[in-house]
Amino acid sequence: MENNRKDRKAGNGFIYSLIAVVVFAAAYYVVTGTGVLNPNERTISSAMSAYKLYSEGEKKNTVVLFFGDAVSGGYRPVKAEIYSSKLPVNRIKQTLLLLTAGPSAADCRQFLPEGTALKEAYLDPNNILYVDLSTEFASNCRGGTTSEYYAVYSIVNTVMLNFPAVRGVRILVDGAEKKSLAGHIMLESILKPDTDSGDVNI
Amino acid sequence: MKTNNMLLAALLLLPASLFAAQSTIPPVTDLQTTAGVVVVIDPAHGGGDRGVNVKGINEKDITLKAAKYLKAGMEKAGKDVTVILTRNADTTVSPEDRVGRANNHRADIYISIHCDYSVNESDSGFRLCYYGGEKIFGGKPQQAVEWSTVPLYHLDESVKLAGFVERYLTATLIPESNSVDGGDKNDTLPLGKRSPLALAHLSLAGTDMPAVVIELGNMNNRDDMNYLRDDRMLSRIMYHIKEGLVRYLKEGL
Repeated sequence: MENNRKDRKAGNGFIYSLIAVVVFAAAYYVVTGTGVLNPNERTISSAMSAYKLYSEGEKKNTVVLFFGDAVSGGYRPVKAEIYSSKLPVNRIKQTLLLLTAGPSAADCRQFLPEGTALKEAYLDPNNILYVDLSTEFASNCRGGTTSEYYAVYSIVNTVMLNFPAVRGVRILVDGAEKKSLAGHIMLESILKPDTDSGDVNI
Repeated sequence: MKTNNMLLAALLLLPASLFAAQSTIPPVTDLQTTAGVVVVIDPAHGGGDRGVNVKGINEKDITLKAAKYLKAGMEKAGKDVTVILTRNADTTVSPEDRVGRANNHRADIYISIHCDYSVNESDSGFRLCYYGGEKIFGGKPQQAVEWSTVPLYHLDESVKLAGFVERYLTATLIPESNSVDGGDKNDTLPLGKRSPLALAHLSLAGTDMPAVVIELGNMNNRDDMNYLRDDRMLSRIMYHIKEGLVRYLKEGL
């Protein structure tokens, strides 16, 4: 009788442990999305809320995203709205999610290689922003100076011209430093915005 | 009165006709120096790194062919000219080894030849790039810096070199007598021109001399791709570039 009760207790304990592990794993997946926010698989708003990038009721701010112009080949600044989260890095993440999602207008081009997703973004104490992107950012890059240039600086310009407190951008691919995407633009340095082009002012 | 009007018209047209005559540029010849000239030409990519690939055509093959045309042209420009290719065949060479070779030979100029890719198919034409540090440092380095940023010390000369190449790629030239077009026709390239870029380019990192990247055209643009696949056209493009380089060297040495 006593042994049966002990066996039942042990069995319940195992089931509770199993449920706890499953719940923890599910929560971890929801919170981190296993590290990748893929705009093709989720809506931007669900991705943002999964990451708790804003709270309901927060005001909205306008940001400018640097996409490509199908006619000129240069930048096409496009306005978008984000929530005014208290943490600056959350505002930056919202902006980068919108950038990785791509433009909706037919005459705009996405400079980022197909499938590029934001894995993480964080600010160091010197206000250098580390942007960690999925492997597609490098693996789907077709090469060529121009395509690499605009892929990199559409990110740098979007961040630094919307968030002046950011002093520079480091780009990581799948959590690691990379010399370049395909042998052209150096990624190992802290990058500043491309102010040479006439269409980068916002 | 009528005669006076005709004289006035003739006077007004004279500068225009002179300009027209000047816009056709004869070949630059006889590059002679006391110390000799070393030119390093870098055919980008190679070996396992095919560069841009469009419909089975690899950037690495076009850049090697173009570099060989340029080498042959430069060697004919003067007896004191030494031309070195960073690769002679379809081999893998690291960017550091390419630039290291140029620095070891104390090259006077470094030309890295690429073919571009732009996501925009309507984007067409050549493009010059030089190492610009402002996007990294906010200006020129003031003292000893890391190896990759050495080209910033040659920024002004690199810009000047890019300017010469750009000028000759857009100019109407009188071809050399032994060129592919026979030398009796004026030669204007159908290539468009895209704005130059100042950037931290891996092909230029560490170059301790005036250095530029020449993007010959956009492989995602149908017209540019047809030019780059055509050996005669590629030869003509490299002739224009050679003329620009020789003119730069003649004026600078």
